[in-house]
Amino acid sequence: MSAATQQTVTPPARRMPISFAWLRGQRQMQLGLAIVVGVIVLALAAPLIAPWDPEHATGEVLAPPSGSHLFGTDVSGFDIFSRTLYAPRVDILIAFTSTLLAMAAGIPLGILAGFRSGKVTEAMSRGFDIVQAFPFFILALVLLGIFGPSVRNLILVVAIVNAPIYFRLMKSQAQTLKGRMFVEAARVAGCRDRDLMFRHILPNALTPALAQMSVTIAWSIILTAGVSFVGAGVRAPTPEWGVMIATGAPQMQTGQWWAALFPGLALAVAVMGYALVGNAIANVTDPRKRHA
Amino acid sequence: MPDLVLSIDELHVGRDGRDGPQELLRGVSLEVPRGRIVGLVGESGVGKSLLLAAALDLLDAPARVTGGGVRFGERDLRSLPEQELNRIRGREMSFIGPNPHTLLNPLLPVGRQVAAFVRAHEGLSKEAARERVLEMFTAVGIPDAERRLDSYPHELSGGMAQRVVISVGLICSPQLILADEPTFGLDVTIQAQVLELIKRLVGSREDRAMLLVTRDLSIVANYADTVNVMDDGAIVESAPVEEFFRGPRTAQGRALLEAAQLEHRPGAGRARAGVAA
Amino acid sequence: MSAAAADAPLIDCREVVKRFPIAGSRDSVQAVNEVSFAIGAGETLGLVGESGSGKTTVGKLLLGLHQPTAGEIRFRGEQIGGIGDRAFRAHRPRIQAVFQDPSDSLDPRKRVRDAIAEPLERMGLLADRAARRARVAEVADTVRLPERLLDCFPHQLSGGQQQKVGVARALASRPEFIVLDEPTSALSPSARAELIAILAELQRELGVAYLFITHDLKVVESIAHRVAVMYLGRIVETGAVEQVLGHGVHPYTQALMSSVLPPDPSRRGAVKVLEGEIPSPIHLPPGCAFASRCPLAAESCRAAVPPLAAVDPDGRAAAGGGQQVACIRTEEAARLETRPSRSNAGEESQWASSMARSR
Repeated sequence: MSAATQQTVTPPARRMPISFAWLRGQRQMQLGLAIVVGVIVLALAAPLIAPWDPEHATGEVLAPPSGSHLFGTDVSGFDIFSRTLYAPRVDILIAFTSTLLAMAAGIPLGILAGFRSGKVTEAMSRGFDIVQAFPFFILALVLLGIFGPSVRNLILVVAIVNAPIYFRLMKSQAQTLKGRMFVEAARVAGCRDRDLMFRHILPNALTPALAQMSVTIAWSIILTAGVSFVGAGVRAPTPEWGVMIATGAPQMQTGQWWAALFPGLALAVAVMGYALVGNAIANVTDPRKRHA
Repeated sequence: MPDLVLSIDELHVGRDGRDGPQELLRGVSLEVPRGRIVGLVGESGVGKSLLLAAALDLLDAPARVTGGGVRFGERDLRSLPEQELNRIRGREMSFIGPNPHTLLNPLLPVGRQVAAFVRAHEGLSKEAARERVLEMFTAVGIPDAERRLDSYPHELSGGMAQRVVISVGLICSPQLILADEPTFGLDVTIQAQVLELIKRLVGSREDRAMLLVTRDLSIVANYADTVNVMDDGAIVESAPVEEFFRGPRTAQGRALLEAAQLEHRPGAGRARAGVAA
Repeated sequence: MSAAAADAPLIDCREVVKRFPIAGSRDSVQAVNEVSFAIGAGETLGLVGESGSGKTTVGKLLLGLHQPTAGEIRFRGEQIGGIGDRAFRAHRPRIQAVFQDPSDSLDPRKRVRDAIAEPLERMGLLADRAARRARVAEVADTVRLPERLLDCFPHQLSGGQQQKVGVARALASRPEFIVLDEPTSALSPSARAELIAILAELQRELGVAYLFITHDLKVVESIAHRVAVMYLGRIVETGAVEQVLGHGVHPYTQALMSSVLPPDPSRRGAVKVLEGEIPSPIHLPPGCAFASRCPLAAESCRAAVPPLAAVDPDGRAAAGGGQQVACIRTEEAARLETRPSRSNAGEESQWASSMARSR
């Protein structure tokens, strides 16, 4: 039993926090990924696929779904199918950019706050707590009301609303990790505080943030659609699911169900796709599981 | 009084794994005579703890007994109804495990837990139970025992908590004690205290016996009467302790002894470099 | 002892105290109380004790991971205790460490090669990549770590191999002094023996000094020249390792040694059992902290903390010499040493009867 076992240990090519093959095998992940990829592809390929210019009135107002207008037309005569295809462009742009911004702000500050506790980091924590205390929708509306609705402001606002999550996440990770033996060992090896925070703690703290990313994107899409629905975000005639639902909703009473339904379905499916992906990543990166 | 307190006869335990039925214990036979401490050693994963669970009829599904028998004195445990087994467990046959803090309820004071245990088995009144627990705590060497009755598990050190667990194992004066790594993780002087206590309370008494499971051969050398070596779900060697340590007969036994000797003398002074005085 | 007037010992601790304040209370945990010792170049001081003895804290104080509450820590005559993290960095190339849990002391995201090279990079020790790569290969070879493992991640290595990485990392900067905190506790017996052999070899070849912290008396016996026994933050006995572990005079040392069980039934000795309560490190009693469990405790023991004083093997006060004990009843303790014998149920050792009398 004490014989030296010669393991044939081969160094892996890259650093892999999760096993991609297994990840791909998860049903949740497969479905979610299909949706996510589909949405992005559609957004990019919209000009090639859409049969009509999304902002060009076709002359037929509120036409029901047919061969030439798959999803029908809306109250201004725009082809709903084409608009549905173009809509993700705005949502994805805003969602991705604001998520990256939220992470860029929340993650380093969170690591700092978790590693060092002092008056400054306490103030930071309180600040983020205050932001998080507001219902995110109300907060977004208020900020947009102050700064005016534009795509740029929308990106900033959504980033602000989402940053506290990453701050909290990284703060608690850093608090746990700073007591680990490899961090002490790194200090003895000559690391200064900033080396410890960003060379050792950050890479080991990142996985929950990555899992959170997809979920944040899902929420951002909903938020964008929501504020646009009430008219505080993207404005007509720019195609965007929230706006489309808002303009199409009154017609449901008069029986023209297609104007609001299709964008609504598309929104729901897209958000679900991102949520599934986020969920699958969270399950896989659960620290209780050990993976090679 | 029967000579053998515990008699395990060709016990088979198996379960249905992903690739078909798996045998975890393959025909284990073991005897624990009255007044003796029987040692069971082996690497981790060979089935020692599983054997104890099987003896207590507390196997976690999907593992189950697929053959053989367990006799406690004259009684065949496998044929007894659950009610009867519940009476035997704890009262006539008790268990001591490692990690006392996982065996104790963190929300209740330890005195109450042990009292509840003895009341459940012997139907004593609250006051009588408390008296018994106090007696037991003092016997196992818990200092300031009266005050400790009201302590919560997290207020106790590892050694103290382990002694509470041992109290549970002894309070109903069971005939048989099944001990699984009773001193794992304890400081060496605390371990000495616990083992000497066990020796005092079990070793020389004719009406008690113990099956001691451990990976630490030195404990077996100093406290057990016989050694059973387990490997891969079966007992491969069984001998009186002096005989075993003079020369194990199996490869597994030899490997364990060599590792223990190496642990005891990792370099024996040869490793020391010359000093520049 | 290497206390020659000409050069200061490599490591010199004088009356080092460390207290950890408890949040929300005026009390503090008295982890280290007036600990003094010296380590010469190329020698190994074993620091032994059970949990709560303060030995790990002493190690961290020497590594600048904690600042002492009082007392002096000198490295080559220079003050390194309490100088703050930034100033301590200047000394780090010469003072390194090996930690207890090999799987936890390596960053799981960094390859082995990067872990070993880290001291070189962080402290700017070797100018170019090629030189650093060469040094990594060199120290890996010294600890007998196969080269093919250098590009692996820690979780792919066995415990023994991981600890070799820890040692290689400690050696990268060519230190003069290494603190080893329980480096072998998590290893299998064979990996343990191999690591100890490697450490001894390194000491012979490189002349590096060690502070070897452990609770395992058998391990310390095999690698240390001198040993200090700690109990509740104080050194209770110190001296040459054969002397202290073979003929320890302090009652605690005796109890500790007798608790080590040999894997041989024919050598069953009477175990010296300690009864009594261990005082809390927050509220240490005024006198000897061991009095509550000591079979020889007398009123005078509880009155004041006994200082470390030189003794001869019979426990009598000596003029000087290596063995020092913090006990005022050393002569009685020396007489109490029970000869190892086959213990029967009825036989009571002198120790046990002393215990009974003192209660």
